[in-house]
Amino acid sequence: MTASNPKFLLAYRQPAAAAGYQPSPTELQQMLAQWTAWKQRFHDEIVDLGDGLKPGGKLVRSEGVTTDGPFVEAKEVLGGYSIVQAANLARAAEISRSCPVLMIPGASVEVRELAAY
Amino acid sequence: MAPFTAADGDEPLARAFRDHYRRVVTRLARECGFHLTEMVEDAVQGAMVAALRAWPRSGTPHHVEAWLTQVARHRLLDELRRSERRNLSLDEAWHADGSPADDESGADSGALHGEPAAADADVTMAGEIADDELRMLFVCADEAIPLPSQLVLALKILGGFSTREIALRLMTSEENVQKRLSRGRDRLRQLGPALETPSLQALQGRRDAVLRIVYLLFNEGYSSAVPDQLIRRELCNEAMRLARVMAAHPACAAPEVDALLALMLLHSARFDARLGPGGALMLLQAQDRTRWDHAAIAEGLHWLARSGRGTHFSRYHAEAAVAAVHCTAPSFEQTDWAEIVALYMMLERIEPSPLYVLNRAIALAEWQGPEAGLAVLQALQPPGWLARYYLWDATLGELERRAGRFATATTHLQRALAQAPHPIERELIERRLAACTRGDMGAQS
Repeated sequence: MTASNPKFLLAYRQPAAAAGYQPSPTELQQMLAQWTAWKQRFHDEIVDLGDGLKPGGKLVRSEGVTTDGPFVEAKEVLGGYSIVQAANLARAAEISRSCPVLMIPGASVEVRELAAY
Repeated sequence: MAPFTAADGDEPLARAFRDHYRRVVTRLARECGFHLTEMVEDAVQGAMVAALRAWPRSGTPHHVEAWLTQVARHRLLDELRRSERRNLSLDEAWHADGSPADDESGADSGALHGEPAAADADVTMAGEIADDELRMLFVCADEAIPLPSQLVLALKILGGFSTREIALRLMTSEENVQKRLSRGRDRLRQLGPALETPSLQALQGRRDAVLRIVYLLFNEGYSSAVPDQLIRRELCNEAMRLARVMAAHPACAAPEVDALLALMLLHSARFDARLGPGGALMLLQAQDRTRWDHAAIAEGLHWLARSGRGTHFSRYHAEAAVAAVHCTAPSFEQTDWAEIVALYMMLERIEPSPLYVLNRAIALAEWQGPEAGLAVLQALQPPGWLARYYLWDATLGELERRAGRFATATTHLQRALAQAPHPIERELIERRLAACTRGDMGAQS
């Protein structure tokens, strides 16, 4: 990896039904081990582990309409993100494939290159 | 089995998250009041979720539990401020135990930032942890909370299990667990902010109720039909862990606690030997006694001897003594049945229950033959629930078979077969039915 490599946003989506689930301490411990292992494995390329997102929120539309819970009718919700810096889109997708988020049944990672405007 | 050591150090991650969970929850609940237990649980859960991103980034903190406590406390304060905005007085909520006032002038959790992290290292002080944990257990044993809810509360808060994990362990639906849990939580909330942190001494009146929860937990693990042995063992281990904490604590230790711990250890020693090849249920007479856990037996006998101090002889003493007779018998045939019959008669006096009579009849049949056992059962007027319980007919059927009355035996066994809840038990009854068909009066394994 070089500093000139493009950056990619990994957007984590999960089924809306799974969003409210509270994992047990034991499950959280397993998830922590997976995140730690993932971060170590791609240490040079994961530049920002990112964050999770709290449930709820507002949806603001161009028509000036603001609604609560943009997710009510959505089957999946945005649950978090990370930023990786990788040689190309294929490599970023490869890194995503072992992302711990995918342990959640029905979860997906959307990989998008940052435009760097 | 590793003995419980209350003085374990705070080694990073050496302790399971489940242990951290219970320690931090019980501590914070003591600090801010038991009526806020649910909020505390959410805060500790949130702190663990935060660790998922924070630790891979910056490394595991040196004091894992201090980190979790600090982050959970922040989240709790934030949540309490939000509650305050929803017209719930922060003063009422947080100062229940007279803990230092939070600095209202600070926009952020100012009072917390000022607190030296070193103070949190105190959380590892063994006595205090045991205090917090036991106090929570005694709070859960509130007589206003229905027993099934007490059990679920204890599993959630002290066992660190999720509702899904509890449902799996209690063989019930997650929805049912939620229902029981919210009934228990309703009661905890009613305790209100006025509640002083109860001293353990003040809670002594609930010791019997606490022992009942612990024993029930153990039985859920020991007798349930959850097919996964490891999962069932976990419940038994959790029950034994709680009993050890009680036995080691000056305010809780009592001969009954020792007796219950002995009872559970002696039963747990036979845990694995109960399942034969292919998962078939192995009765006592068929078990390979070399597969019993002899370290657990030795420890159980040690606690049983210790339980002899004092004058009170509880049901746990008698039940532990029965288990000890079985565990120390060189073979099934050489079991001291006379002693077991005497112990069941004592149990009937301590706590009259037709189940003890049923067990006495079984022991008596081994000692003096099937007719003696049947005579006891025929003298008993079984209450409706017992008459419908598969073990009642299964016992009658087995004793009639051994007496050579195969037609009567078959009637009882078929009735038992219809009532038996689990395949593992039905399989055993079918084996006995087959013996009746063959005209076989011999002992069945």
